[in-house]
Amino acid sequence: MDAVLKVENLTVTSAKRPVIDDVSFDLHSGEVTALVGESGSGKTLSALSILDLLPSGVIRKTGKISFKGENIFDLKAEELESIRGNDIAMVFQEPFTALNPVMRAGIQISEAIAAHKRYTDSEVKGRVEELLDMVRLSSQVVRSYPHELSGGMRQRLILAMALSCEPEVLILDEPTTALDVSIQKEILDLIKGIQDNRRFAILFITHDFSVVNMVADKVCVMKEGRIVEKGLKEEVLKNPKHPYTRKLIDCIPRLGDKRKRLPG
Amino acid sequence: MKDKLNKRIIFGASIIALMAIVAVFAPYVATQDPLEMDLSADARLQAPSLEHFFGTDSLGRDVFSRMVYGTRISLSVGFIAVFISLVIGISLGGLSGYYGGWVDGVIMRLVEVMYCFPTFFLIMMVITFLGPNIVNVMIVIGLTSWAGLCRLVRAEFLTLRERDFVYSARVQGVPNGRIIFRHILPNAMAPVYVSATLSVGGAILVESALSFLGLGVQIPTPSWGNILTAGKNYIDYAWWLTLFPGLAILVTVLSFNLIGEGLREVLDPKLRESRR
Repeated sequence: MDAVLKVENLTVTSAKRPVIDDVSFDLHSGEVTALVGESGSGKTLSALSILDLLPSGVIRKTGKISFKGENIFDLKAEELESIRGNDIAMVFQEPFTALNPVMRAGIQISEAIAAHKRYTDSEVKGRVEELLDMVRLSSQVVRSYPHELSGGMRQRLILAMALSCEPEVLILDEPTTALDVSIQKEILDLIKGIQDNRRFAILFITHDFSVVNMVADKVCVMKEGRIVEKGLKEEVLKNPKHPYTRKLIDCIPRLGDKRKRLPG
Repeated sequence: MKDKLNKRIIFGASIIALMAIVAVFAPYVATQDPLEMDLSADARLQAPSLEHFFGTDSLGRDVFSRMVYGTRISLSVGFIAVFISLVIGISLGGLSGYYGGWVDGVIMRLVEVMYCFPTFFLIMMVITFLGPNIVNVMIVIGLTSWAGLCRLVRAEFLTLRERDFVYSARVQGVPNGRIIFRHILPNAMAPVYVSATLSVGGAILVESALSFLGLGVQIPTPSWGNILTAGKNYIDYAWWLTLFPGLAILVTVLSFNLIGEGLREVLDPKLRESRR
């Protein structure tokens, strides 16, 4: 099957130092590709490159990112706007800062829907409810301000916003890092469940191999801007080739690990 | 919020509210026609009495009634001038902070030029050319006082545009105009409220000074500034002609400053203790 999104030989520099060095990977519909690595390894920058939203001071040097056959870097500003949030959506790490504190949840979510004019004004309300239902939030949250919602609820809301235009690629940048473990599991199951129905491609950015284990189909391990290992999840987890991958895998807390049990 | 509505705001706001009521209902509050003269010797320069609360001026007009009508001028100049400077300051500051680059460069140089002019001198010059009247005064004060506000809004935008929710709105493809007005601006308003309240007081002062110099509200229309001017020649023996308008200006400006300070205390997270 053809890839929806292909990243080829992407190199990005900041202050003349490469921060992403010759990175290539593909995303396929219905699959979860995990981009794993420590902080500063270039995971988030790779994701922002896909949307051509690199922060100022960071320069893309070479490479190609093709979405359905078209190179994103050749597109005009308006064409890019119509892809962002519409065909490619992104969820950020921090549910506490990714929502506008002075705007009611309902308005924020309908804004995401309205941005691409796929729905008429009268349909928007129904669509909001449909989305909230999809992420299992009660429709009463539309009248709440973000500070009235818990972290998990906010992350569901953000997920609903990202899904509002039925994207073909969903980028999740550490979507569960700021949440506690039980909520994390809930959100991951939710994401997997929705993906089973909609068959979009997911780029899942994380530093945590236990999360990779739960959601990913394929894994790319990044270190210092390079992809040091990539392959199917089972292979990488069972038989890591690069010593860095092995170290990351060793960080997974295991059930039954006697030393780490609490006494009593 | 309730416990944070501090005494300063309540005190300042009640005085301004009182002034506003006086301004709106001026014809009912004034005891006499503010323009009616009585040039007979015993009607001129009367000391305050029950008939003339604040005495009469050199033309026999009732100072209290003149001041009541002057309230209208002072408050409307204050509010309208600040409104004009808000519109200019917020739009330019917003553009500057959001887009950065050469837009920011051009607007900031413009702000610096505005800062370089001695503002009061500039106002006086423009008024001299355009002719002194109340509308010109409002517009000119508004047009010359937006620079500080512009910088303030720009600074807020600079920090806010890097926030996650702005990024996330951009990622969703929300148009720039909507990001500026719906996402960033409402979050940038707290310091703007403070600065705007303080500027209302400033604008009232400038209007009084202009009227005092004869460049503002023209006689016979009463304003606090020109009542002061009319009184300055008689300051030796008719103290009421300068004391009351002077007090009115002082109290009004002080009230706006108190509200501004109070708002700052309530809105600025650095000044208040953590509430959690």
